[in-house]
Amino acid sequence: MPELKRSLSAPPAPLGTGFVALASLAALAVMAHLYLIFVVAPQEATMGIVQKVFYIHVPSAVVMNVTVGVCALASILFLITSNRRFDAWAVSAGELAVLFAGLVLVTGPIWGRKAWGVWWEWRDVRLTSTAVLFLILIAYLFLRAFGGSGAAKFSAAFAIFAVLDLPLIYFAVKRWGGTHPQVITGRGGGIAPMMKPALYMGFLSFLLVWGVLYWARLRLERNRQRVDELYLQAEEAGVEV
Amino acid sequence: MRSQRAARAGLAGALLLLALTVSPVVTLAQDQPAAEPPAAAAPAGDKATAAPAGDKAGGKTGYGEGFQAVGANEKETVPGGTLLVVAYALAWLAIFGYLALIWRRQAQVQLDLDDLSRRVDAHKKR
Repeated sequence: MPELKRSLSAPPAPLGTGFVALASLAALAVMAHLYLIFVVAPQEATMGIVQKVFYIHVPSAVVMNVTVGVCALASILFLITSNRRFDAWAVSAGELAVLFAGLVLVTGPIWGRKAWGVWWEWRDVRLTSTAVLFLILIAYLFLRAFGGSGAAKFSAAFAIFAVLDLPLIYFAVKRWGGTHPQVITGRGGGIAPMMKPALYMGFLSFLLVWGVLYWARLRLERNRQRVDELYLQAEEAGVEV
Repeated sequence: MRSQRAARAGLAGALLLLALTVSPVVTLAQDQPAAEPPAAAAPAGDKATAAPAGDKAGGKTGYGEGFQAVGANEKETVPGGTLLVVAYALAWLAIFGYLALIWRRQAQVQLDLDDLSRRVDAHKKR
C-alpha cells in the first residue's frame, strides 16, 4: 500500500525540454514552409493558385506513410514481445495515421475539384486505395476502443494488414495510371525549381509537426497505461475502485 | 507562475494559428486579378479542368508533363483561392484540434489519478 501511495503521488510523465525544443523547431519550420509556399513558390501555369494545396497534400501523404509504418513496426514488436510500451507506440501512431490520412483525403479532393473538375474519382486507384487505408485505420481504432480484452493483439495484426496497402498506394499510379499527377515519382516532368524548396520544407515541417503530436500522444498513452496499472494494484490491495 | 506560462503559450499558439490562416488569404488577395468579370468565376474552374478531364477520358495520366511556373505576364484564369483557404484552414484546424484533444485527455488522466488517490486515502482511514 505505501508503494501504491508513492506511485499515486508521483506526477504524470512530463513533456520535458526536449518536447519544447521540438515544438519550437516545428513552429519555425511551419513558418518557413508558409513563407516558401506563399512568397517564394510561383503559381502553377495550368491550375493556378489552387496548386499550392500540393505543398500540404504531398507532405501529409508522406507523413501518413511513415506513421502507418511506425504503427505496423510497433505492432510487430508488440506481438513478439508483449511489451506494453510497443502497444503504446502502435496505438499512438494509429491515431496519427488516421489524422494524416484524413488530411490527405480532405486536401486531395479540394485540389481535385479545381484540377480534375470532380471531388472524387473512383477509377483512380491511388485515391481509392488511400480511402481503403483510411477505413482500415478507422477499423483499427474501433477495435482498440471497443474490442475488449485481447483487442490489443488482434488490432496489432490489423495494423500489419494496413501497411500492406502502402505499396499499392505508391505503385498505383505507375501501374494503373489514373488521374493522379506523377510529378515527383520519376516518370513525370518534375516540378519547377522555384517550387522545390516549398515542397522539401513541407516534408521537414510536417515531419516535425508529426514528431510533436506523436510525442504528446505517446506520453498520454504511457500515462494511461500507468493509471490502469495503478487501478489494478489498488484493486488487488482491496481498495474499492 | 504556471498560469502566466500557460497564457504565454496560449498567446504564442494563437499567433501561430493566425499566421497559418492569414497567410493564404493575404497571398490570395495579392494574386487575384484586379478586375474580373463575375460570370467568369464559376465557369473558369470548369474551363481549366477541361484539359485534365479530357486526358482522363482518353485514359491518359493527368499532368504527366509536370508543374510549370506561370509566366510573368500571365494571369491566373482559375481562381481557386477559396478552395486553397479551405484546404489550409481545415488542415491546420485538424492538427491544432487534435493537439487540444490530447491535452484534454491528459487532463482526464490526471483526474483519474486524483480520484484513485482519494479512494486509497479513504481505504486507509477505514
